[in-house]
Amino acid sequence: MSDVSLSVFIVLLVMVLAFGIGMIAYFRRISDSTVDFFVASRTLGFVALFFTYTATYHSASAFLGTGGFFYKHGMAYWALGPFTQIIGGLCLFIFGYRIWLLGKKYDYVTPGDMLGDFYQSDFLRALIGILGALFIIPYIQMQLAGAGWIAEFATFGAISYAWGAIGLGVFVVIYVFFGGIRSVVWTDIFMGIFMFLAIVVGGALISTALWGSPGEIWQMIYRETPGQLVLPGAPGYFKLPMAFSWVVIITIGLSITAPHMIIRMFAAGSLRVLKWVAILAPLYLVWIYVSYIWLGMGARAAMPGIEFADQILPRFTFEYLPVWLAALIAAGGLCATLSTADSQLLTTAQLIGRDVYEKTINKKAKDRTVLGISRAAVICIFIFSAWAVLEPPQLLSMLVAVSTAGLSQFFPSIVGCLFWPRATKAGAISGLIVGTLIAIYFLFINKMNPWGMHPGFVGLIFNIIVFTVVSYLTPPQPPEVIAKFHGFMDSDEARQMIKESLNN
Amino acid sequence: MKPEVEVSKATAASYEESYRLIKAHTYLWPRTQLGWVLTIVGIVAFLMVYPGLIWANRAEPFVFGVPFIYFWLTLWSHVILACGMVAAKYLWK
Repeated sequence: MSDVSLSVFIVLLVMVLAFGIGMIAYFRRISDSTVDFFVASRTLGFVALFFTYTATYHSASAFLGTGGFFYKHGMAYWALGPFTQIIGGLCLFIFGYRIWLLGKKYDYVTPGDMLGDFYQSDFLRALIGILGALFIIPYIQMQLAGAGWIAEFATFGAISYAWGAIGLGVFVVIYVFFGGIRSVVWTDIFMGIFMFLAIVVGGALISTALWGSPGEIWQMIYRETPGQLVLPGAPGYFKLPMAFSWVVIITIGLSITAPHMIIRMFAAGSLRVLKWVAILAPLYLVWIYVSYIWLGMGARAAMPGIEFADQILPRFTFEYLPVWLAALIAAGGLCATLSTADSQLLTTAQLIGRDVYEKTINKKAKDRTVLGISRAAVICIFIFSAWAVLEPPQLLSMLVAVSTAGLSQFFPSIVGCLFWPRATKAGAISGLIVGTLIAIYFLFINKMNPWGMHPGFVGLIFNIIVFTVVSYLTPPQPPEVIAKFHGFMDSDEARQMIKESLNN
Repeated sequence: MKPEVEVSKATAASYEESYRLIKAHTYLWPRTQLGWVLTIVGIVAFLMVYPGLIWANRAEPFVFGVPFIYFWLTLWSHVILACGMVAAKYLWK
C-alpha cells in the first residue's frame, strides 16, 4: 500500500468511526423534543460532560493554532493559556451552578432564554441570539480551515485545502443535523481522548527525535532564541497589558459567556458532575500542551522563517514520523477541529431556532417546527462558514481572539442575572451595545489596540461602566422577577436542590 | 442610589419591594471564612503573574531544568487550581 493510500485509509477509518458513534447516539435518543436535541434532557454524566467540555474548548487552535502561537510568540502562550483554562474551569462551577439551577427550574436551554426572562426583554433575547451566532461563526471558520489544512497534509495534497474543509464539514453537518447534542457529546468523548493522545504523543515524538530531551530543547531555545523565553516574544505583541487583557477576554469569552459552554452547564446531569468537571478539566486543558511547547518553541529556534507556523505539527509529523503514525496523529488533529465545529454548529442553530425564532418571531411555534428551523440553520451556517473559509486565515489563534472579544460582551448581563439583582434591562442592553460597538470598531475599523490592550477588553470595560451606571439610574427590575431569579437561588428550595444534586 | 423619578404609590411600593429584595439577595463576596481565604490566595497567585511578571519575566535561573518564567507561571496557575480543589472538597458540598 502506498503512503498516500495508507494515510487516507487511516484518517478515513477514524472519521468513519466518529461518524458511526455520532449516528449511534442519534438512535439512542430519549425523545424527539427540543430539550433532548439541545441539552440531552439534562442527563450528561461526568465522562460525557468532561470530554464534551474539553474537546469543545480545545479546537483547531489546539492542534494547529497553538503551535503557531508558540512558534511566533514563544512563552507568551504559557502566560495566557494555563490561566484562562484554570480560572475558566473554576468559573464553570461558580457561574455554572446558578445557571444549572435556573435551567432546571425554568426549563432554559440557551443563554438568551435565561437573560431574556430576567431582563424581561425579547429584544435582548434576540440580540444575544444574533450576536452569539455572529461571533461563533469565525470560530467555525477556524475549525473548517484547520480541517482543510490537515486533510491536505494527510493526503499528501491529493485532497486540496478547500475540499478538505468542505468535505469534513459536511460529515459533521450530517450527524449534528440528526443527533443534536447527543451525537456531539458521544463523538466528543471519542475525539477528546484521541486528540489528547495525538497532541501529546505527536509533540513529544517529533521534538525528541529532532532535538533530544526536553532539557536539551530548553537549552537550545535559550541559546538560539532567548527572546522567545520571555514576554513579549519576538513580534513584541504580548507586552504585559496585552497579555493580561487576553487572559481576561479569553477566560470570559471561552468559559463563561460562550453560548456552547453555557449550554453545557444546562446539560449537566447534576451539580456533582459539573463540579468535578470544573476542577479536573483544566488538567486536561493545560497539560495537553506539555510536549507541544517544546515542539513550537524548538522549531522557532532550529528552523526560523517557516511561513505558515500553524502547520508545524502536521507538517513535521509527515516529514519525520512513519506514515501510519503521522496519519493517526493527523486524525487526532481532525478530531480536535471537528469536535469543536460540531458543538458550535449546533449552538448557533440553537440560538437561531430558540432565541430568535421560537421566543421572538413565533412564540406559539411547536417543538417540531423549532427543531426544523434549527436543523435548517445548521445547514445555512455551514454554507456561510464554508464560503468564508475559502480564503485561508493567517493565524488561527487570532480568530479565537475576535470571537471571544464579541462573546465576552455578554458578561455584565450574565453577572446581573446571576449575582447582582440591581441590574436592569436598560443597563444590560446599553452596556452590551456600547461594548460590542467599541470592540467591533477597534477590531475591524480602526484596527488598533487602545492602551496596548485587546479591543475586546476595552469594549468590556466600557460595557461594565455603562451597564452599572445605567442600571443605577433606572428603576429596578419588578420584585416578582428578582424573587423568581435571585430569590429562588437563595431559597430553601434551591439549597435543597443543590444539596441533593451535589450528593447525587 | 435610587433614581429620582415621579411614580405612583403602587409603583413606589413595588420599587420598595424590589430594593428590599436587592438588599436581601446581593452576594458579590464570599460568605464563609474558607471562601475568603481561598479567594485571597487565588487573587495573590494571580497577582504574582499580573503584574508579578514585571519582576519574574526572565529565563534565568533554570529551575528543575526549565526556564524560570515557565516554572513561575506553572507554579502560580496550579496554586489557583489547588484553591479550586480545596473549594470543591470543603466548600462546594
